[in-house]
Amino acid sequence: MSLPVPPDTETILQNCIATLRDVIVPDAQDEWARFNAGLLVGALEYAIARLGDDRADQHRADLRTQVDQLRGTIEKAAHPHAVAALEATSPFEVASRLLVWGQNNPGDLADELRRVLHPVLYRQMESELEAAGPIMSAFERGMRGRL
Amino acid sequence: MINAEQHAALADYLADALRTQGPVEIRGEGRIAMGQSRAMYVLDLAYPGSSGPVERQVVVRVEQWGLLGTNSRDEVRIMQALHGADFPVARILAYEPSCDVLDQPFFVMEFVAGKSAFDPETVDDYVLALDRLHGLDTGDFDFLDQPQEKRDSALLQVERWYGLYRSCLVEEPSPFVEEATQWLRNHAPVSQRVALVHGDPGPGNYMHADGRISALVDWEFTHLGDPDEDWAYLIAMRGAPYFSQAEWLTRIERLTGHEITPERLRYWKGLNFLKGVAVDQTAHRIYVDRVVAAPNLLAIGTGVHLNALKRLCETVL
Repeated sequence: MSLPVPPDTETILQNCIATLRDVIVPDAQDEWARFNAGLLVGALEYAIARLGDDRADQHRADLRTQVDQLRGTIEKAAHPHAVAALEATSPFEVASRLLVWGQNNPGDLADELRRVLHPVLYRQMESELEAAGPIMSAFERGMRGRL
Repeated sequence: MINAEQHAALADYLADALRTQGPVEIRGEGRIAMGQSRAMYVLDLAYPGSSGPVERQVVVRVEQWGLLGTNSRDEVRIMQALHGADFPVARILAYEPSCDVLDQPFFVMEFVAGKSAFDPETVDDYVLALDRLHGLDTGDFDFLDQPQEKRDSALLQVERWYGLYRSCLVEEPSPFVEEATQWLRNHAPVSQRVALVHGDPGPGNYMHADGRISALVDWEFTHLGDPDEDWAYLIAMRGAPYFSQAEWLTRIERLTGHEITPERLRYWKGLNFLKGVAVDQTAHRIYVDRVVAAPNLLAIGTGVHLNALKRLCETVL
């Protein structure tokens, strides 16, 4: 190795962003090329935010905690389809089946499922929306013709 | 962009399709950034015609490996039928269903001059044009799926978009999509009539010039269904930045006499948000499969998708 300490990934990506923003975007003559160059800046910023932070695993773990909190209530209520929903491996699958069951079986248990599951799912949706902010801004600028 | 080899093949194809008297020269090519569902190219052509040299512009609309879950075949047939009904659409010049020329199916249409940006001068004419679309004889579109029962206009669309979403799933499903879809199934309204529904109507999807509408565009989502699907889409999606919901409702009723109840508006808004969720999911699938590397697919598959999902939840859950 000629480089005992190679540049870290984030630095390389940040420098790519700077070069794209300062050199490539202003000089891109073609509309489609300019649109894509602007989006690449947003895509790289989106990717950098995921370095060392596996949000998908965190979302699964948070949702599993909520599902586990419901397990006793569901088993006590003993609705066969709701109990069967708990057998799915992924907490997203479990929550999906439980919430669909709730839509088809209005009542106290359905209300409880929504009360426990909705807040964590809304939080996850909001955090992913926030993470997608940079690429969304670039996309919306492009769609408005502000390339 | 179209590569050099494809350029040559496309020039030969156009010479044949346009029945020119000699070779076609593609003098200019520009990809339009606005359209996301198809790659759209404006081509400047020059060729010998039967009564002398011809210079003209055409638009080539190319499928994108299933992006947004639609196909050109129905789009072309719909546009041809609409053109036959003297409806303002671009004339189809050629349709290539194979992947031999540009790696994907595509069609060629006349270039229609005009702008697609919101225009207060033509918005009333647009509402009237959409109402006229809903009044066309659906018998001219019998190649499209026909709703059989009174709740089918809703249920066929729910299953179409949910099926697309599931077919393009990346890892696990979203519990919100599953729950909202079930809500839409359980609350599907009765439709009073079946009409031709544009599917993506509103500012940005019609061209205007000199205060007149020159063409309605983007027919890939068109189907037989409930006209309220279009009105809800116009109000909640493409038209939302320009007028409030109440203003749109008043305008539509004043111009067309059509009244939309709050319950029906809520339902069809929800259906349209599910449509958005589903078509955006196709972008996610195509991007992670590395079929298309363009970053607009990452934007559509993440932020655009989540915005539609959030609005779906706010509307029906």
